[in-house]
Amino acid sequence: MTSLPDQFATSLAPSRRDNPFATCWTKPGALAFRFADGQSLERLVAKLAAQNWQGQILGPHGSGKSTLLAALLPALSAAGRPIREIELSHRSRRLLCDLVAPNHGEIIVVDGFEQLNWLTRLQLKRRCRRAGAGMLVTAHVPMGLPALIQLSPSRRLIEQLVADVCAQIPSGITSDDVAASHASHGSNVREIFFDLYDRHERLRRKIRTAVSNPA
Amino acid sequence: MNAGAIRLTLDSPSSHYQAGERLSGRYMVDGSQPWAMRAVELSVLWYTSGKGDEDMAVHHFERHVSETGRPLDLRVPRRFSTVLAASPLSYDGEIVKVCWCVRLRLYLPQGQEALTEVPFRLGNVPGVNQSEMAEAEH
Repeated sequence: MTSLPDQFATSLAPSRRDNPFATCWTKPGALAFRFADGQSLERLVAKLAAQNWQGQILGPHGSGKSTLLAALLPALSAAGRPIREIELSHRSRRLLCDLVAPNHGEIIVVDGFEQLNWLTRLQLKRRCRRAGAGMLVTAHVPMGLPALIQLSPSRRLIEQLVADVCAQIPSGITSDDVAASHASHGSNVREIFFDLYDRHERLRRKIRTAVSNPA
Repeated sequence: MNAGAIRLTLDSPSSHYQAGERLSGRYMVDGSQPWAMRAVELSVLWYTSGKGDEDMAVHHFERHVSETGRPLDLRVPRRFSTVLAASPLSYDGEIVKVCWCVRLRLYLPQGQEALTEVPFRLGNVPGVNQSEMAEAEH
């Protein structure tokens, strides 16, 4: 993690490059998923295939489930599996699932499977089974599908993710900042990124104030 | 294509404009031979950046396409110009920023693209400063 360059502090025009922890740089799909040792995208695709394309990605809040899903879907498409994502909105969760008629060979993807009630989940699983369709879901707790992967980012992994983010846009965030954020938020990477966003903003403005008002 | 080969510059050295003012500049691509490109798009746009969802809108857009017998050659600078909008004004907030920029996108052979952008400031809305952030925390 490098220190902020001087011109960064004096830039007049706000830009997404002002903060490496802004959503545009850290949201699912924007940041490459970092696998723990021994895991890889190819290995997960092979495991899912061995489980008849049924699987659940488990992990607590902010552990990277949606980010992993964003990385997996193109790999599954490349493996020749049609993908159908069911987007859950507050108003129409049940209605969307009632309308789903799975096709043979495709994979139904639900991010946040536990947002559906147990009856809707059961009906969707049955429909997929009858149609010969696969299912890939994310959840915080087991949902009755074969486990694909359990996510629990370690502090080392979080430090690597922060380094990935800061590789593109410099930041004055230190290892101590990351340690403090990890102590507060555990393995919730989303909250850690929010926290580091705030820390970076404070640091950036402190530098800018110092540059504008030299002692 | 090396991003350093693309040159996008604004005429105003300060990159600071007021609502309704004319923004102009030029773009070109360095090289001893013309780069093969299918099309080039220049946009003047604003977007939000920060902790939440992002919004964006395009204020000015132009697209130039290579034609048979008339390939695009950007070794000669091309100019662009637009009258800027009244809003939204640039804002350097703590949780959300409103950012304006000029973006140049080159469409190269085999589906490749090259992108560069130059931010500029619209208006004089002051951003959140350090003392305000400290006050808000307490």
